[in-house]
Amino acid sequence: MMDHFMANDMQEEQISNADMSTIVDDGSAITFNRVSWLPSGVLRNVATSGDYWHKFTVLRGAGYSKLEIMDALLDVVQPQMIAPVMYRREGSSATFFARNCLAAFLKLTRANLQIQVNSSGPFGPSVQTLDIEITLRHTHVQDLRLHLHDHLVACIARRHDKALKALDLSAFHMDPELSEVVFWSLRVPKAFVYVLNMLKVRTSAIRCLYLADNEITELPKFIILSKLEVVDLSSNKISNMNVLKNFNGLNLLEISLDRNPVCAQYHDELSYIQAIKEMVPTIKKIDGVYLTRPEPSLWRRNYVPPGQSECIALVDQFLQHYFTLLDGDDRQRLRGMYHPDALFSLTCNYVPGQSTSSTARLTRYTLESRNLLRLSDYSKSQQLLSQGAEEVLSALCRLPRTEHDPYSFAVDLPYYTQEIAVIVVSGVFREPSMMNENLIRAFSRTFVLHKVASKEYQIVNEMLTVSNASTKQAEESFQYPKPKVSLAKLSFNPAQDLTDADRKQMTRILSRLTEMNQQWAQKCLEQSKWDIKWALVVFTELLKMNKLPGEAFELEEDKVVEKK
Amino acid sequence: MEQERRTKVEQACRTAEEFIKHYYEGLDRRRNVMSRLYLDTATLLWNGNGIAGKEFIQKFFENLPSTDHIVSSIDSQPLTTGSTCHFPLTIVVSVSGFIAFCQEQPQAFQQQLLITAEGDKWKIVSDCFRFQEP
Repeated sequence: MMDHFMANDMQEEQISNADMSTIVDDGSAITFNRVSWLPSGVLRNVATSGDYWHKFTVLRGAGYSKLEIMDALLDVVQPQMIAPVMYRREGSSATFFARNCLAAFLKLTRANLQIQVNSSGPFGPSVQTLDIEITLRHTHVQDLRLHLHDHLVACIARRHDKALKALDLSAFHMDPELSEVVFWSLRVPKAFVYVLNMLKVRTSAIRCLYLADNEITELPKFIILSKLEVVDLSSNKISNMNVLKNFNGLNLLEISLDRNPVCAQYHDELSYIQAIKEMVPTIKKIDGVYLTRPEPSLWRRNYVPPGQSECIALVDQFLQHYFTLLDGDDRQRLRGMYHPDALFSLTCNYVPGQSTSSTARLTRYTLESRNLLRLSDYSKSQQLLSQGAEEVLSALCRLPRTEHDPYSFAVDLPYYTQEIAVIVVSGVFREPSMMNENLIRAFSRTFVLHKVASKEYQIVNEMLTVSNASTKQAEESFQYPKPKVSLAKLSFNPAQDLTDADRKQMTRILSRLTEMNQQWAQKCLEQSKWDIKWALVVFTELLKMNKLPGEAFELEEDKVVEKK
Repeated sequence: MEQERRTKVEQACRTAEEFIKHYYEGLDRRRNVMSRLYLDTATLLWNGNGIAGKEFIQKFFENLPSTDHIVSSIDSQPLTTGSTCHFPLTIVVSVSGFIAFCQEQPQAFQQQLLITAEGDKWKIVSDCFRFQEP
């Protein structure tokens, strides 16, 4: 079986007639070394006879470990195939046999039949040059029958865990039983391919392949292992990410590449991960760690510029006010919040693949949608932009009735100065439709506010984006009953700088304005977080809804029972 | 006055479309020069995380995995009355679309940019990005 490998490796060498005459063709052994070497033409002729084992003697090799000698040999011979068998120490030498390794021979002869052995001696790591003597046609195959193929089959069967669908080929050349017979290293490409081809009969049973500690630099194509999902290539000698291309066509999920020289090429985790993902796009776990969502940071609900905490209360109030009126039945009441020259426009987008996608019904928004990418000319862009408070309010009143979910709000304050504030609110709202179902929308509303008085802002620009909500948004919104007077739930509380005296005064003022008694005025203020303007709004709302009982207006003295 | 306003609106449209094109091209293909589009003092809000200053914004983008953006809609308005004395010519731009990281599933996003003219170039004053779904 191994003979088929060698056919392509024949180096073309000219054989002169003179040389041919010196070949002893009676089947006897020929020994040569660095000093008395054979011309390669002769070598080729003699060495190709597959019926013989050739003996290699590493002079003074006995003082080194088998692994050190083998590594040194493969360093010279790489990437050519050689499968050393019967490794032994004979006196001061190390010996082994091999056959059908012409290409390896040629490489050795070009290296002057010398190998460089890396070893760690008592004085630290060192490199020694050792000579090799080769005896061609040393032993006939009939006298040394080894059945390497069968040994390999048995080895693989031992290392195959059928239940886990895992094949453990780590440190393959050091397999205790196999190495007694042959040194079969997966760092030799042909040796690797050979083993891979042996797996043809069991490809559906291999989901995991462990290849650590094999000094691998190259990989064969793994396409025949169609069910392969997990690969361990740690502790090898891979120096180029390109080798991972050999997993093309597979659905590889996990890979380990740590302790390979290639890792040092990447200075940070992100570029390392990206490089691997480029080669193996299906990968989900690298070096034992699952890849998480690629956000560099957590999603945070709100953002306020650092050192600007005084704006928190203002933003809070503004949003409470705005969304209560927006959800109310008369949007004209928003008038006071807009600057006379305010601008408003909206865009509508469709998000496919969500639970809301098939029943989105965004027509009323798409009619007003101002998308510069879809406009044939800019004159249309003027029409779709509401200019001036009057137009803005008309536009707002044209849009469907809404109910916003304050618990879904995320609020960002990207720009804030004494004169201008930019607020971006995103979240979810629902729209009662004709069919009595609730259409759930995702929105993003950008306000550019201009300060007109010490604590008052007016809207100068407003941009609204509406789309159908995502499946998750639709499922998770409107979980909590909104407080009757809606409050946008923000993660911070407005500053409470009011003294008792302040509060008493506010109560008196509100009581006079509304004709409620002090007790109820206080209740109102408490509910509105001591914002008098807001309390007035609340009062008006409650009055309209007939939610204020008569007792709210009763003078304190008339009460029979003191209510707490 | 009326004409002046119309012109401003039109200019806002033109500028926005062009700028946005450069912006996403930069993000997807030429990340290393993103900071050129920002003022030195610009701020970037990314899903509620704040990054201030051009250098830190550049660093942020370099650490972000590679992206592919699809822009579905662009809308823009000029900042008119009471526009800041610092930035006389400022535009607010609102973008919606889809973003995909390293061939993962695309997600819907919304983004708002405040851009202003610094000399003859438009630069970002503030940049606010959020996924539609947290």
